[in-house]
Amino acid sequence: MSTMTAPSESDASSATGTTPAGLPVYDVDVHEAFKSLDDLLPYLEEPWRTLMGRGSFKGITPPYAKWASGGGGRADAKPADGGPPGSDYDLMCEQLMDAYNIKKVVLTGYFFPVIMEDMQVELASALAQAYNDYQIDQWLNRDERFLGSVHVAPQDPQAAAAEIDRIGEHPQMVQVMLAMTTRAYGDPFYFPIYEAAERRGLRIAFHQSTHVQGACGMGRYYIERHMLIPQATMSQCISLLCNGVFDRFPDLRFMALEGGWTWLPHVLWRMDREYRSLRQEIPWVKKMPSSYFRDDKRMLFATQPTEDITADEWLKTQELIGSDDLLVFATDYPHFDFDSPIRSLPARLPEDLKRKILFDTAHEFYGV
Amino acid sequence: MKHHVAREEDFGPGEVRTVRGASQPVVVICTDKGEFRAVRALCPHQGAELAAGQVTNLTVSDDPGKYFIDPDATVLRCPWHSFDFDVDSGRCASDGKLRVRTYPVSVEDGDVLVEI
Repeated sequence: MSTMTAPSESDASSATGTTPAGLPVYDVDVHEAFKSLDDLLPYLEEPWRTLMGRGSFKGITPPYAKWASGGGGRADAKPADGGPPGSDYDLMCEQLMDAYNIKKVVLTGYFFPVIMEDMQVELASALAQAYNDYQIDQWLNRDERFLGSVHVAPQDPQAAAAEIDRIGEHPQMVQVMLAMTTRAYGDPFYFPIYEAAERRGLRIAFHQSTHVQGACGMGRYYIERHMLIPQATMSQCISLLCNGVFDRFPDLRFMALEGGWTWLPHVLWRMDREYRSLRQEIPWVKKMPSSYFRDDKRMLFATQPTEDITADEWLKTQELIGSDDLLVFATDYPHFDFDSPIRSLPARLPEDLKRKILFDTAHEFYGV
Repeated sequence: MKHHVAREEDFGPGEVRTVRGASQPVVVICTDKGEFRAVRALCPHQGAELAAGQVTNLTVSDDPGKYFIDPDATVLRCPWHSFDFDVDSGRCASDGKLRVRTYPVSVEDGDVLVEI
């Protein structure tokens, strides 16, 4: 929902206030943003600073117009200074962190150099490095409730690994962000990234990018692309499994953002069926595929965007998955499909389950 | 009760023979080392006849992209869905909850015999 220029992303109607029974919230997907690419200049090394300083790179914009009232963002989240939604700390506090009982916020950005694909990978890696320093300086240092994501250009895995080593031990950094395009991240090409993340004790997060696609392409319409996002997340689950990532990197855990979760029963059943037949092709996968998810909790799934389902439908789906430990809450602030911590979960879900989803599971996952 | 399956010299590595006249459907397998094993002849998954299965060795690996053949693990691969059953334990290689029953096999005076 944003661009590499300046993320501009809305729900102006959600009531604010405390969560049911005052439950604390661990928000795993909040998109901080810079006001313009110029904000990165102080953090760029040469020759990139000079190159960017003379306007030679305009970023990459998504190939579609947005019909939502605020574009990709909440219409009420545009700061008074004209910056994009997510670029104003005080407004973020007012609309999100202080409006609800939010204890931790995982910043996920929306500046993803992966969408530069295989062009000028050195610049892509330099932009990732600059963004990380900007994130630490302008956001993480500002509020201890913030946790960070190490942004990388995964098209150059060695440079990405070096960047993870450079800042991965920052006390507020909790994960490496791998934005989804058409890359299947189980490919051994990306193993240097996983080695570095494991070395630094970081999680791996998957999030859609403006260039994410479904199995038959991006679709003709923005809404179509938005409906297709879960396909990309399913693809990542399957790719990680079949390429042995769960076995090769036993300490790595993954966070799937904005990709949905109600499809899990099908994918887990399908994985197990195929594995029973064709295990011989992937002998490095040591266990029944569903067990990596259901039993080992190697990947968690953020609830946003929560489908409009009833509490009964939610609980039935969770029963089919076989675990109530895989879901974590996200608002996706400041984007247009924001989920309110007090309105998005079905009201009739049991209180202890709400507590797990809103806080406990993410708290355990990130260990902070 | 022991059942005659074949003469040893007529039963080579990789072959699968159905036991005739037994109370249970059983197949006997000759491994690539020339050893004989016997398992129930029906796949516990959907009932395929394992007599049409393939005798092969288990693929193993701890390293994505690299394959090793375990010379000590012979499997009978179901002709329908390719479930691999270890001929020693009867256990399905991909799902430990599935297994086929195994039976003792002996060679006496050149005759391959299975006890059912």
